[in-house]
Amino acid sequence: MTMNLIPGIESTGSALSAEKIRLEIIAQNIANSNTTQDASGEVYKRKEVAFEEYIKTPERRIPGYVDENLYQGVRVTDVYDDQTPGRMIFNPGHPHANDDGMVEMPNVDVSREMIDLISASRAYEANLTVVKTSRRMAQQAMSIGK
Amino acid sequence: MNEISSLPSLSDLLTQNPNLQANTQLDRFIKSNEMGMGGISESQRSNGVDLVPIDKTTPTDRVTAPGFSQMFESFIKGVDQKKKISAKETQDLILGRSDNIHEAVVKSQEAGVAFNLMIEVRNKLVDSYKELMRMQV
Repeated sequence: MTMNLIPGIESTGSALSAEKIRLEIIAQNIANSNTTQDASGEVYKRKEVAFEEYIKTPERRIPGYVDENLYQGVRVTDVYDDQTPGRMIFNPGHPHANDDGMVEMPNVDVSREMIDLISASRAYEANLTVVKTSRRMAQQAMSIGK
Repeated sequence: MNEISSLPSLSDLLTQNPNLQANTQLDRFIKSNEMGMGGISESQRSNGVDLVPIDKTTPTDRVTAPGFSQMFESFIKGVDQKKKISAKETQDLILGRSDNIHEAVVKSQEAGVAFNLMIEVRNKLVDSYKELMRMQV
């Protein structure tokens, strides 16, 4: 038997993990904003994460009763490449330059990554607030008898 | 010693006085009751209803349900389990086996809430015990 004393902790915990992965991917994008060659010899492509809700609830949930089969939250299903073409820069001396002397730069826009960074950090904060509030709810419920 | 032996024995007394016969009244009561019961049971049998024999086992023989102590023990085990999970998560984080800071903190919070709940239940128990001890006799 598991005790579920803090409401919504499962969902919020999984959301924190997911936002953490999103932040890692943004860090990867910013780190590779000038990388003209990846492991396969191509120019670096901007990465993005896809989230998916996962939920399993019975037909009708009775409030106040712990259901062992109930699990819910969010998870990262995919990390995919952004396929928009990057800028071409004329630099004949570059080892990754093509026959015309052009080098394709990655399609990473640092200012856009910064916005995503703020968004990820705010989402993380929102979930932390949920943890704090639900923990306080549990503590307050215990002080009913005092 | 002499005085006691000079007293008539109980069996002598009983044979002398039939009114002092032990269980005389009780025997009579049982006899009349059996007759009455027989009458009832026959009339009930004609209705197709049987008398249910009285359960003569003592109440303590019949109790088999898990007691409060067992329930409380499993609760304490649950709290302990939460504490162990929290300790393991923290250890994994410190030793570099995991990088989930929030998971460790959330687990420790969960363990804290469960522990506080246990303390509350214990306080309530001790309070009720004290209340009983204060009772005027």
